[in-house]
Order: sequence, then C-alpha cells, then structure tokens
Amino acid sequence: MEIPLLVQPLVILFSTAALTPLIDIVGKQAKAEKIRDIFAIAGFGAAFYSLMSLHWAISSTGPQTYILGTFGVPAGGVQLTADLLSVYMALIFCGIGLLVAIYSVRYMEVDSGLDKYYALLLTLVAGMIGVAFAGDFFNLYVFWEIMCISSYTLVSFRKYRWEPVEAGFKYLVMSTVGSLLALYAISLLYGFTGTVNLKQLSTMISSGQISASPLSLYFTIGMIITGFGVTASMVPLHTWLPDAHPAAPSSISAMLSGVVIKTGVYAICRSLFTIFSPASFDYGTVLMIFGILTMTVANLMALMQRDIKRLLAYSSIVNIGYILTGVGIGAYALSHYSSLKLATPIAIFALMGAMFHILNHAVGKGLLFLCSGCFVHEAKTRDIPELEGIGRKMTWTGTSFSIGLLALAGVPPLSGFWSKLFIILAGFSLPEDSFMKFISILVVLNSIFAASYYLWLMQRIMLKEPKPKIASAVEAPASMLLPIVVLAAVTVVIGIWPGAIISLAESAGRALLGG
Amino acid sequence: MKNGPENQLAIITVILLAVVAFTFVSEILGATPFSLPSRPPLEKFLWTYRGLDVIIQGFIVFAAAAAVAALFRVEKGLGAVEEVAIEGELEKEEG
Amino acid sequence: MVEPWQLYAAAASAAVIIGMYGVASKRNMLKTIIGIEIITSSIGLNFLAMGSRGGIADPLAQSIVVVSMAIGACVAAVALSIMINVFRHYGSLDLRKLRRLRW
Repeated sequence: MEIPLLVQPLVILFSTAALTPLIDIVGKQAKAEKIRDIFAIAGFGAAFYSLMSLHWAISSTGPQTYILGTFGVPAGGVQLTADLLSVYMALIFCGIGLLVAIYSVRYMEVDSGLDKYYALLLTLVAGMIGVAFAGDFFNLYVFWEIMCISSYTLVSFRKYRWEPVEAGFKYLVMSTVGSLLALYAISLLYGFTGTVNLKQLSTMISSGQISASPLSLYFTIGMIITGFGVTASMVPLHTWLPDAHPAAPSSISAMLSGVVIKTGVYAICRSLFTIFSPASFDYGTVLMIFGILTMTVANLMALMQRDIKRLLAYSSIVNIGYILTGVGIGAYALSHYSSLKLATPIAIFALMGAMFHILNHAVGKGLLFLCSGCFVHEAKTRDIPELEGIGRKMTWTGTSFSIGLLALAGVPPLSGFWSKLFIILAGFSLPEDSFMKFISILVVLNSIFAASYYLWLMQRIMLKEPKPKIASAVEAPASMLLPIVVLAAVTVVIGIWPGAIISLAESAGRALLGG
Repeated sequence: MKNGPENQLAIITVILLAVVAFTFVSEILGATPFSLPSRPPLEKFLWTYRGLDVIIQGFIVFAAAAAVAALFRVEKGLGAVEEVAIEGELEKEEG
Repeated sequence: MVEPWQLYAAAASAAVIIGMYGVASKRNMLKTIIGIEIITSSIGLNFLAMGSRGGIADPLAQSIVVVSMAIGACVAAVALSIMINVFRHYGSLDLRKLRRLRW
C-alpha cells in the first residue's frame, strides 16, 4: 500500500510510538534494554529523512494536500496541507526531537517506565508535525491536544518528587483552558461560515458574504491569540512556564522550550494570517504590544533567578517576545500600509526574521537546556552559586554552553545575530511611522539587556573557580555530548554561512502570506 | 509474562476485537474475503467522514493510556520510591 | 424573534463563563477539573447550536462534538492522575497548598 509522502512522517512516528512498548517487552525478555532507545531513535531518523524528501518535493512542485477517504472539502472532509512554512517547522520539530532522543539514552537511564517516555516523546513530535501540516482548523486542534497531553505527562514524568507534579498540574490547568478558548473560537468561526477548513474560511471571510459584524470577528481573533498564547507563553499567560520547564527532566525541558512553545506561535500565525487577511484586519498592533510586554517583563524577572533552569526558562519567554514582535511588525506593515508597494517586502522581511529566530532559538535553547542537564546531572544541584566554575571541569559541555549563550545574546559571528538584526531592521524600514520605530528601539534595548545576563551567566559558569563540592565533576558521556556538539556546530555554521537558512526562512515567510 | 486467567481473557478479547474491526474495515478497503449479507453502507460514512480526526483521536487515547500508566507506575518493587539520585535536594534553595 | 439556536448559543456561552469561574476560583483541585469538563461540554453545545441553523442538522458539527468529547475525556484522565500524585505528596487536595513554586 503506497503511503503518500505527506502523511509518511506522521505514519512513521505514530506507528513507532505504538510499537515502542512492545519492543520494550521484547528487549526486557532478551536482557538488552537499549533496543527500545535505538528503535525510537530509528523512528525519529526515518521521519526526518521522510521530511527532507517532502521538503524537496514541495520546493519543486508546490504545496501538497491530502484528503483521507471519499468526502472532499466542500462536504466537510479533513485536509492536510503542507507548504514550505509547514515543512520548515516540521523539520525543526523533528530535528530537535531526534537529538533529544539521542541525549535521553544516557540521561534517563536510571528512571523507570522508559517505554512510556519514548512513546510519549514520539507522540509529542508527531502531534507537533500534525499541527504544522493541518489544513483544517479542528484537525489542528486534535493534533494540538495530542501534543499537549504528551507534554503534560512528560513534565510530570518524575512523579516521585513534589516539584514536577505541582508544576505539571499548574501547566495542565492553564494550558487546557487555553486550548478550550481556541476551540471556542473555532466554534464561533464555524457558526459564522459553516466550515472549519482554513482555506474556505479565508475565502468566505474575505468575500464579506457572511453575517458577522467586524466586532465579532475581532472577538474571535482575540480568543485565538489568547488561547494559543497560553502555550506560546505570552506575558500575562506565561506563569506556568517558569515552573514547568525547570521541573521537567532536562531533555524534556529542551523539547518544551525549544519547540513546543514555538508551536503556539505557529498556530497563532497560521490561523490569523490564513483566515483573516492582514490587509483588512489589524492584529499587528496587538501582537507587537504583547511582544514588547513579554520581552520586558521576562527580562526583568530573569535577573532575579538563582536556579539555572528557571533563568533559561525566563529567557525562553523573552525570545518568544522577539518572535511575536517580528510577526506583529509584518502584520502591522500589511494592514496599515496596504496601499504602499513596499508593504509586502517589509512584511516578508519581518516574517523571515521571525521564522529564522524560531530556528535559532530552538537550536540555541535546546543546546542550553541539554548542557544544563549535564551540569545538574553531575553536580546534583540547580543553584547557580553552587554551579560556578563547573564549565572548567566539563570542558566540552562548558564550551558548547558558552557558544549557546553567545548565540542567543546576538554576538555577531553566531546565528542569533542575524535573526535579531532582521527583526530590528524590519521595524526601522518605514521611517515615517513612529510607532514601529519606538517598538524597534524597545527591541534593541531588550536585546542589550538580555545579553547582559547571558554574559553574566557565562562568566559564572565558565570563568570562576569551581567550588570544592563540584570538584569531582567529570565530563558527560559521549552519547550525551553528541547532540550538544551537533547543536553547537549548527549554531556556528548558520552564523558564518546564513545564506541557505535565510532563503529557507524567506520562502517560509512568503508561504505564510501567499497561502 | 505470567500465564494467568487474566492474560488468557485479554488474548481472547483482543482476538475478538481484531475480528470485528477486520469485518468492518474490510468493506471500506474493498477486500471482502467472505460474502456478508448486504447492509446499508453506514460504516463507510462513520469511518471516513472526518476519518483523519477519528484516527488521531485513537492515538490520543493511546497517549492518554501511556500517560496514566506512566503516572501510576511502581518502581522497583511494591510502593518503593526511586532513589533521588538524579537531581539532588531542592528544599534549601527556595530563596 | 429570538430563534432557538440563539438561545442555545447564549446558554453555551454562559456555561463557558461558569466553567471558567469554576477553574479560577475553586479551592479543591477536583472542582477545577470539573470546571474544565464543564467548559468542554458547553463548547460542544455551542458547536451543535451553530450546526442547527439550517433546516437539517449538520453532520460536521456532530462529528466535531463526538471527537471533542473523547479528547476531553483523555485530558480529564491525565488531569486526575496528576491530581492523585499531588495528593500523594501533599496529603490534601487544597490548591492553596501548591505554593512552593513562587519566584
């Protein structure tokens, strides 16, 4: 039976997830327990290869769609759509998932219940790839929920301590209410138009044939931003993140900070830009204001932290602020200057910066959380004053940690510099609009402020004398070092030759506007 | 795997469910190995209208089952708690 | 003339607000989870109310509600498991006891 290329990654990941408990039983009988780890890594590898061939297919022939069964779109059937933005996000999700699975082989080996861990990790990545490929709003919600259920459980995975369960419960309540708000928005859109397909919603709303006042459509936009913004950790809704990310096992913290919160930003972008055309609805202002608020509040809170993973969690919120500001600049340019010929290139430029920053932050924050997992694994503490100088004892991990911190701070030869530069330049590109200039100045100030505590953290971890308590720390094992070194190398390579990734991000931004 | 009455009951139930599923699904796939009396084509609608949502919902149930199994797992003997060998004590650093 | 679907949609919106009040202000964790389930069911009612606007009941709304109820059941299962684990650690279901994670 020939499986179409579009659904191959989903089929591979879901079937691997279903088979992992069986392989675990086989492995336990044969006294070779690592079989299930190798099986999960093979599943991720096969899905990544299939996504690469899908990317090649889409770049040559255009967006692909898939409908299961005989009910077509007008009758209410489900459609999966993959354009360049979807496959760009899916490649990031699957790549980080593969590296986290390789890291988890040694990191999680003292835990029990690992077959369920790998099964849930596979369904987490499968759910995220499904969100990226969804062409139907309710289908997006269903994939979103499978991602959320896997992530609630993985946060509370080490349930024998109080911290993961408390953080997991808080995360579950807040994130479920957020998803339900988005579902309420879906039901309102269904009430206005009679369909839940994204393309059909866009044609029906832009043609103006539906009996809905602009106020009710803006109410729906607000529900979508709030609902998906809980998972994307926008500022008034972010309070679950600094508790959930430190409490999760470090490999899962890397997944959460690196890719799960980006899925929230992707869902906001995809649903708003596709359904509500940016030329007729103004949601750029709201996204920019919330982006600046997110950045500023999280920067101030990050300075006060003593726990290394909590500081990295707050810095994830700051970077989501950059991405939302970039998206907001794009939407603002399209809605306020729709008559200007320059508006579309500016919007594509801003969206390109935001998409590039998604990749940079996924790689960089994944790297930072995996390194901090190694540090905490050796030192048995998460307190920064006690972890001082551990980078000198664990040289490979410490160097990669410093590369990650410099990259996220925006230091030039590394990758973070380019994406922040694009977002700031896009804000300055319309000189007569003082609101956009003000927002860009705030982005620059927040960027400098964030660089200050990244460099402070690097100084404490790498350049101070180690305390006697951690004097016996040894370097992490090779299979935990491999993903760390790969991510650091990717950061350096993208920083020096950003051309390929810039063209990928630009085509992704163009696909978001043109689709 | 212990051979108790529960295991045999589980195996019989799984075989019965597989036969029922095969009977329903085979008509959609177009392969009818044995001729059943003609029924109204209800299954085609139930399984294929928004079929992708139903399939993914099936995987949500699998993920929820794995989640509940992971959250209620017993480590190393009845009721024992895993040694806190992984991330050390946190009580003293809540400053 | 108020049509029947408008009454159902208004009742569904009121029930969503009641559910959110339950999530936000109840001390017992079990009542929080019940609030989440109230929100899920009332959004289903909203879908069905919107679906009944033509003369014929829309199969799309009904399929969506069936799938959404199954998802709500799975979320409740995971939430209750985490709640039982919290009880094992803290000894009570009082949400105000979960305040060790602050700054």
